[in-house]
Amino acid sequence: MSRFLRPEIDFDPDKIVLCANCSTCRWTCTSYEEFQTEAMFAGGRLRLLRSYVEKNLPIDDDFVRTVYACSTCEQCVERCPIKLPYVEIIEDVRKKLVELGKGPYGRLHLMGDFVQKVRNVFGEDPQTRGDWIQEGTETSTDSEWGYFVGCTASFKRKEIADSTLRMLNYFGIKPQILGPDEFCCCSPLIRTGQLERQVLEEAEDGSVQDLGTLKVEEVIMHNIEQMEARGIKKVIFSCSGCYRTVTLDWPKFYRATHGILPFSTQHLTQFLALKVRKGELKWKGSFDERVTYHDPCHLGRHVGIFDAPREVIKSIPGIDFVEMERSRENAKCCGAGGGFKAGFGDNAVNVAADRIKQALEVGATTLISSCVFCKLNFLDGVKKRDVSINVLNIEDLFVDLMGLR
Amino acid sequence: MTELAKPDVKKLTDLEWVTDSMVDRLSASGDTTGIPYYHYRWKKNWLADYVALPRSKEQVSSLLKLASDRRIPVVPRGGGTCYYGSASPTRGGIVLDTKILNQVLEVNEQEMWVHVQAGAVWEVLDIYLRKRGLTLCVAPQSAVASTLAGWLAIGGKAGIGSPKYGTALENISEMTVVRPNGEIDTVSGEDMNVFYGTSGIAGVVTSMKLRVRPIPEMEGGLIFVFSSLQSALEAVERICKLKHKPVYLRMTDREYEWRVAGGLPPQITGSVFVLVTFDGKKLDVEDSLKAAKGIFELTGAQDLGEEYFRKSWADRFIVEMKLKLEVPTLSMQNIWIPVSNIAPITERMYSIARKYRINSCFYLVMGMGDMARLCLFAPSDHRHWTHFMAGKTMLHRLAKLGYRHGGELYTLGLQNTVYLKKFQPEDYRRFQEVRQKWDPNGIMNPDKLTHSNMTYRRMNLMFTMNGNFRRVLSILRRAKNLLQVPRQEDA
Repeated sequence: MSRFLRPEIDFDPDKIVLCANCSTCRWTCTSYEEFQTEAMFAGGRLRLLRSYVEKNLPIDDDFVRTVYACSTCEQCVERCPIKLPYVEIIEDVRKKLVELGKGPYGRLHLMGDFVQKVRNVFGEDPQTRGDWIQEGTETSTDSEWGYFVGCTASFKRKEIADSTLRMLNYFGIKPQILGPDEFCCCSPLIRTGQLERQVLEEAEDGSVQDLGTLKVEEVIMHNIEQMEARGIKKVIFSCSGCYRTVTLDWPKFYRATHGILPFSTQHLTQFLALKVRKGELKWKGSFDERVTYHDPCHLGRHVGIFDAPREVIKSIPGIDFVEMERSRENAKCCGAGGGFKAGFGDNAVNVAADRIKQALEVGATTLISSCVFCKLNFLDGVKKRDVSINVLNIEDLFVDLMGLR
Repeated sequence: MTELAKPDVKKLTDLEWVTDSMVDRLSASGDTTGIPYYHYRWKKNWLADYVALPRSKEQVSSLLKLASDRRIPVVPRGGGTCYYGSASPTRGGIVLDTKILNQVLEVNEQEMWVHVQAGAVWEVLDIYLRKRGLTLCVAPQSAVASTLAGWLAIGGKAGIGSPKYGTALENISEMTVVRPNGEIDTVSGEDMNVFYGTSGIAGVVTSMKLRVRPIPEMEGGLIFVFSSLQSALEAVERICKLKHKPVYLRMTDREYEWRVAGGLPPQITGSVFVLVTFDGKKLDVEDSLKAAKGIFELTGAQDLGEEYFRKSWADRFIVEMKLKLEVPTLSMQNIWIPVSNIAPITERMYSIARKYRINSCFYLVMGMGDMARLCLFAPSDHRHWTHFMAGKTMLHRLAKLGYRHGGELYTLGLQNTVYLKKFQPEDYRRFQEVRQKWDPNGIMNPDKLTHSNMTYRRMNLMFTMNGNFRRVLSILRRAKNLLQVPRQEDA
C-alpha cells in the first residue's frame, strides 16, 4: 500500500526546483552528444527525475540507464546560469537506485563486487598491486611522502606509476607506497552510487554466496589509517580521479568522526609546477612538437586545477603549445569518468575520438593529459578510430625528456 | 518508397529514429516549465506517445504523411526553451524533435548567407561561423539552447542584433519546409510568413538560408543606472534614434539586477539599469558610444563602468535564467509594446505586487524601431500556493493592461492562445486560415493558436478570485512575501 502513497524513488524534488530547464547545458553535454535525446543531458534528467518522483512512476530499466549514462564531467554545472550542483544530485540518485536494488546499471556492479572481494576495481590479485615497481627506482618506509597509485596505474597502465615514481626519485623523493595495503580510492564506487550494498556472488553450482556488505567508508578509512600509521604527511597522485576523491570525498567520511585528514594532497602536475616556479626543474631535452593539453574533468572542473599543468608543459623547451577550441572550464570530457566507460564502452570511445578530433583540428601532434582514465580512453580512441596522434601524460613526457627510463 | 512504407516497418517503433520509451516521451514532453504535466488542465493528454528524431527532411516527410493519413497529432520541437508550452503535447501523439537536423549545408561568403538545417542551435552555428570570420546578424536571448526554427516558430522579434538587423524572418531568404501532408517545398519571400510565429501549424522547417555578416571590427557598450524610469525611457528613445543603431539594448529594474547579480554594491543607487551595445566599424562604434554616453550623462545617470558592462554583456544569453538563482518558480509574461508605453504597465506591476505582497521585476529588450519586448516576472515558489497564484494573477492583469496600451503578447504558444480570440481577433482569424489551408486535419501542434482547452472567461474568473483572495489575506496581514526584496535604503 505504501508503494502507492510514496514514490518508489524517494528523492526530494525541492533539491531540483531551481533548475530552470533552460537547456543551456544540453549541447555541450557528453552524453547528449552521444545519445541525442532529451533525456540524456543534465536538464532533461532532472525533468525526468522530478516527473518520476511526483508522478510516482515505477523505476524501469530505461530510467536506470538514463541516470547512469552521465560521465559526471560537470560541464553542465559550468554552463548552468545558477550553477546547480547537478553531479551531486545525480550521484545521490544513483545511491538511491543502488539502495533500491535497481542500480547500478549493467555490469557496473562488478566494480563494487571486486572491491569487496579483492579491494580493487579490476578483480586483480591484491598481492600484485605493487608489482609495477621496477629495478632502478626507489621507495622507502619512513618518508613523509606517499604516492597513492590507484587501481588503474597499478594494474592497467603500469608505465604511469613507474614514470611517477621515477619523477619523484629524480627530485630526491623516495615515497612510501602502500602496495597490497593500498585499497581502491572508491572513486568509481562513489560516482556510481555504490556506497553501501550487499555483495552476492553466484558460485559455479548455481548457489548464491553472500560476500557481505560493501561499505565504501570502511575502504576509505583503511587507506587513511594505513597512511597515518606509516607517518605519511604528503600524498602525491598521478590519477586525477583518485586525487579528486581523496581531496573532496574522503573528508566527508572522515571529518565527522576524526576531523581533518592527517595528510595533505597534491597532484603531480601541482608538484611539477612548483618545481618550475622555484627553478628546480631544468629540462634536459626538448620536445619539438605541436602539443595540446586536455583538462581532465576531475582535475579541472571538479578541483579547479587548470594552470599548473599548462605551466609545466609551456616550460618544456621546443614545445609549440596550442589550446583546443574547448579548454579549461569548457573542456570537453574524454568520456571515461563517472562509470561511463565501464557502462557504455563504445560510446565512451566515441567521445574520446571526438576529443582527439578537436586536438587534430588545431594541428596538434601530441595530446597531453594528466589522468590515467583519460589516457586509457584516448588510447582506445586512437586504436579503434585509427587516428594518428601521440597520447601522453605529463609524467610520461617528464621521464622521456629527462632520460629516466 | 518512404521508410514507413517498407514492408518490414509494421509499427512506428520499427524505425530506429522513433522511440516510445517512457524516459524519452516524458523528457520530450516538457519544456522550461520544468515538468511536462505542468498546466495539465490545459494540456489534457500531456504525454507524447512517441518521440521521433528524424535525420533528414525525407524522414520528416514520411512521418508527417503517415500522421496526416492517420490523424495523429505531431508536435514539432526545437530547443524546448519556450515558456509557453509551444512544444508541449496536448493530445499525446508524436513529438518531432528536430535537433538532429543541425548540419551546415553551405556557406556563401560572397552573398553572405549560410544554408543550415533548422535544428541547429544558434550558439553552435555562431561558433562555426566565427571560425570562418563570419557571425550571425541576429540571435535570440536563449541562443545557448534554442534552435533556428524554434525562434522562428515563436515569432522571434527581439534578440541580440534585432534593433539593427531586424526580426528572425527578415534575416532568412529561403526555407525548405515539409508541409503537414508530407510534401517537401522550398519557400521564399512572403510565402515564408506562414512559418513565422505560427508554432509549426503550417509545417516543419527543415533548413534555411540565413543572413550572416563579417565579424565586426569593434564591439563596445555602456551600462548606466537611472534614478527613474522616466529618465531611462527618455534616454532609450534617444539612443534608438542614433545614426548607428545598437545591436542590443536592455533595460532592467533594481530587483531584477539585484537578483541576477546576486546583490548590488552599495555605491549603486538608482532604480533602472540600461545596457547598450554597439558593434561595427571602429569609428562608428566609438562615435555611437560617445553619443550614448552623452545622452546618459545628460539625464544624470550613473556609469557602472567597463567591468560591470563586460560581465553583463557576457551574461546576455543566460541573464533570464540567472533570475532563478534563489527563485524556485519563475512566472513570466512577455509583451511586445512600444517602449514609450511601458511606464503605466510597470507602475501597475509594482502597485499590484505591493498590494498582493509578492515579488515583481521586469526587463526589456529592444526590437526594431520603438518596439520592445517587455518581460514581466513574478518570482515565486509554487509550494506557496497563494503567493504563486497571486503572481500569475498579476501577470494576467498586466497582459490585459498591455493590450490597452497598444501592446500584444510576444509569444503565444499554449497558454497565451487563450488571449487571442478576445484581444487579437485578426491574428486569430489569420491563424485559423493558415490552419485550414495547410493543416485541415488539425494534426500539427493542436491547441496552439487556433484552439484553447481553456476559455478566457474561466481563466479570468479564476485569476480574479485568486487575486481578491490574496488581497484579503494581505489586508488581514495573513499574506507575507517569501523572497527578499532589495530596498533602496540597502544601497
